[in-house]
Amino acid sequence: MRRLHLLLFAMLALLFISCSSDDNFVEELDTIGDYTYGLFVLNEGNFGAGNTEVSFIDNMFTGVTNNIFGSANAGNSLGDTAQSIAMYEDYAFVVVNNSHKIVVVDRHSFAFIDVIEEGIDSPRYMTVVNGKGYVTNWGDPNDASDDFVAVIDLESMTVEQAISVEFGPEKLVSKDGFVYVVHKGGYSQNNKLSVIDANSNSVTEVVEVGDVPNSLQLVGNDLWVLSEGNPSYAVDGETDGKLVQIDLGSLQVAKEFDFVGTSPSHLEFDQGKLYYTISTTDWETYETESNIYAMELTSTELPSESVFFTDKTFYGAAIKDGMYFGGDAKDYASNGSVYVYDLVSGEQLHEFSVGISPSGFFFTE
Amino acid sequence: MKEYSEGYTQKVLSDSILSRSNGTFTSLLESNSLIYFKENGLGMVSSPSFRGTNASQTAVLWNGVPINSMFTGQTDFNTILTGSIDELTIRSGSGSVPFGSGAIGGSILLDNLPKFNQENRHQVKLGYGSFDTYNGQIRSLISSKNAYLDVSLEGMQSENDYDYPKSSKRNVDAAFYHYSLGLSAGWRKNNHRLYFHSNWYEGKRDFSGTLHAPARDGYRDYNTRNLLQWETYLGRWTSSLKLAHLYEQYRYYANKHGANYSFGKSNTWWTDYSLAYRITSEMKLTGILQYNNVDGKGSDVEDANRDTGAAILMFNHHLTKNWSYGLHLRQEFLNGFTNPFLFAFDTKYQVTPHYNIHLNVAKNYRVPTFNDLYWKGGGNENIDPEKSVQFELGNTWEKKNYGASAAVYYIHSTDMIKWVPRGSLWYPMNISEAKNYGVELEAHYSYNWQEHRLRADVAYGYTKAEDQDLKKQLIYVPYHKYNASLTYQYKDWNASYQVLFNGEMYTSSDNLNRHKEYQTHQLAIEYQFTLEQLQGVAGVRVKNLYDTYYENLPSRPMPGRHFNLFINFNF
Repeated sequence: MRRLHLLLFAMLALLFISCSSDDNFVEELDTIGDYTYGLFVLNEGNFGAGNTEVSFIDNMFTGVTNNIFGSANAGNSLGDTAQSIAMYEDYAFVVVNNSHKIVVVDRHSFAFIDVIEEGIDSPRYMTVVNGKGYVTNWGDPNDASDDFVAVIDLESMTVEQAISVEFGPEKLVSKDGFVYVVHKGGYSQNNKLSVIDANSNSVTEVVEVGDVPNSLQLVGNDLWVLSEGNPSYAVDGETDGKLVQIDLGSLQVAKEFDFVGTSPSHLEFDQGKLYYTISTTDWETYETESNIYAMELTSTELPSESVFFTDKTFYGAAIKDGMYFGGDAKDYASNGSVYVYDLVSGEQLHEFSVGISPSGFFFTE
Repeated sequence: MKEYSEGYTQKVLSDSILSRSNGTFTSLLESNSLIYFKENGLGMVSSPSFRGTNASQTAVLWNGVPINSMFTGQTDFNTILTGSIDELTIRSGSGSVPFGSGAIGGSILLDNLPKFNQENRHQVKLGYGSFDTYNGQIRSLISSKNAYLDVSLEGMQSENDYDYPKSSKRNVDAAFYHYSLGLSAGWRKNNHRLYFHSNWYEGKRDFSGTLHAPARDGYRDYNTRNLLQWETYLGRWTSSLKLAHLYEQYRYYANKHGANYSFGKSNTWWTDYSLAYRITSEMKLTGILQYNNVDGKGSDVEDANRDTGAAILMFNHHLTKNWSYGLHLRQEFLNGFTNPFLFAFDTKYQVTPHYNIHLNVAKNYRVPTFNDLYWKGGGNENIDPEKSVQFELGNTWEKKNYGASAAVYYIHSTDMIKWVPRGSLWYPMNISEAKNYGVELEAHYSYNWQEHRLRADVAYGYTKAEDQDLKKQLIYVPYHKYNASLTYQYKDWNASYQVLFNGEMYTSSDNLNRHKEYQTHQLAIEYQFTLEQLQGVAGVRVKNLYDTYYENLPSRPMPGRHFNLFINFNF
């Protein structure tokens, strides 16, 4: 393993980080390490049990390494119920929801660098714009008025601003200095997309999308937002899923697609097509099935036939380079599995045993 | 019901043990039984695993009335205060015929006893302990030949801000208090007895955090229980009519400092008419009719209402002086479930004056809870009661200064209700099956010499509880558990030393993740004194003597060494 020492970074860090006694930063960062090429699988663990962990699958699929945070950090726990990972330069930021913190690690080795706790409250997802981290936060998940996007100075690893936003901010993407945030609505429901100008750090526009938006993709100058619809116990009643295409120039909804009686999830974009997954349960036999659909960007209606299906349901899912990655959480109380499928034939290519409740995939490149 | 329990394992904790307990109900039972408690930190939510069964498979009855929550099907053992109770019975294994739903792993009976024609007595208990813990009780009994009134007020509060042993973290923002008012009264005239029992409870807890998650949520609960009982004795006939009302209310605060909460509340009207006929001095037959109506609602449960009727027949027979048996039957109706027909057979044989064997075989059940049936976005109104067939074989050897007992049991539970993920939602279904079997061993020895009294007790349990789908041990069921104590008394002084051990257990259903075993020690020293009319006992208790770091549940550390001072007066 080749190690390059980032002496300059260390010097900068010494200059800019106010170094109190409990500041724990690593003075050198690797640029290549065990975890440079491949994919991180986030294992959410059990809420309250403090057993969230990260697994790594290399890009040649030679195998899986589980508990990479604990292994790199003397067996320490990553925390309670991690929600997502963001990567920027040589850092990986693990957003740990129920520990209300962001753990900063060296993305090549997963060695601990820092932790950001001050100004973070029920964090969900993070993205980086102009060298600043933007993190969605729910605050009290039942309170619709305390939600915010925290802006993190990645030099000092501190929260420098909180932007108050609509209820339940979830996933976010950025383009040309704007941050686009969908709002699921915490423990309740919401149907909004917020646009934040990263120069002024203010919300410039709020657009209505489908109920409970769970994923979004940026394709060219369009934002595609997939919503799963309200659950049956929602105050406003159950609604169906919806996919909307938003033109980022006008922020107008260019097209919208209504699902009928189904609840889609995991919107992905790969090799020119959009993909989403619909899981269904047969209430006679209680058997479940997941269908993966592909859709052309120019299509005027939703595809009627799925690309492939499986009898598994996936807690986390992602698509990359013609492969579908599904995280099967099984009973959510034991180690889960990751299945990799060929996106054309539906053939299962690989299976890996990972940690408890695999909920997300984060590719290193 | 205790007279129908010859062929069962049961342990009775008397008033004197109860009155010395000033900790939580969980710690009292941990010291006196082999029940494993999952406790979310000291004083927090505590759920039992009796013989490896789940928390809703332990029935709790207050003066014969089932009090498990209508929403969760279980009792939180840190919300029970025992100061107004006269007798606590821990009955292992089957109990659904007499006690109803959930009496599978075992039953906990909290009873007030009749107190006619006793001396008036008054009791004051005060306690102070580590983490700013205060507890106190005042209890008065006024008794005459044909009437009595027993009133008790007790409370406990704690900052509960203990340091996690060998860690820089503390159990912050986890204060709790609870208090309870108990009232018990009786009148008798000729062959009639009239009793009234009442209990009011209120508790507020700021829930503990974990090593990795800050303490954010909180809980308040408020319960009332009232029971009126009229007994009549007419020759060979005994008639008993009971009418009870239970009110249960909880509020869960996701943010304990905020104003938002979710809640549940229920009202239960419970009636029981029992008619017993003593056929001969060796044979007794009892018929019971029960009816109850439960009405509940909550922020996560639609308006829920359930009527249940039950008919019970119990026959007990002493075949010979040394051999007895009982056959008990129960059928429920009205509630809309496919109700199983329940039976229980028990027998006891006194082989020698010092040795007996007992056996029981029974079918038990547990009804779905309101959460199982009506939870918004998940409740399944098509589920049925869980069933379990079980047996126990035990033998006891008892001499003057020593004794020992051993029991083996087997519990086969089917149609167990389990919440399973289906797509993005979870639903309860009758799909789980478990087989539990185990061994319980107990021995005691006492030795008296002049004014020295020595007593040793030891109990050990081996529990195998296997999920039949996975063929794996159920999570949070330790294979091994034991407790042992040594008590030495000299004149007015009394010292006791106790060891509790919980074996390793699994935290994931594939048995790949484990939770470490732990052992804790406790030392108590007491001094009894008399000051004119006043009789008292004062003492100190040191818990977790060796400051052991242990977790009852993952990342929830329990306190290290802590102290408790107490003084009780009787006059």
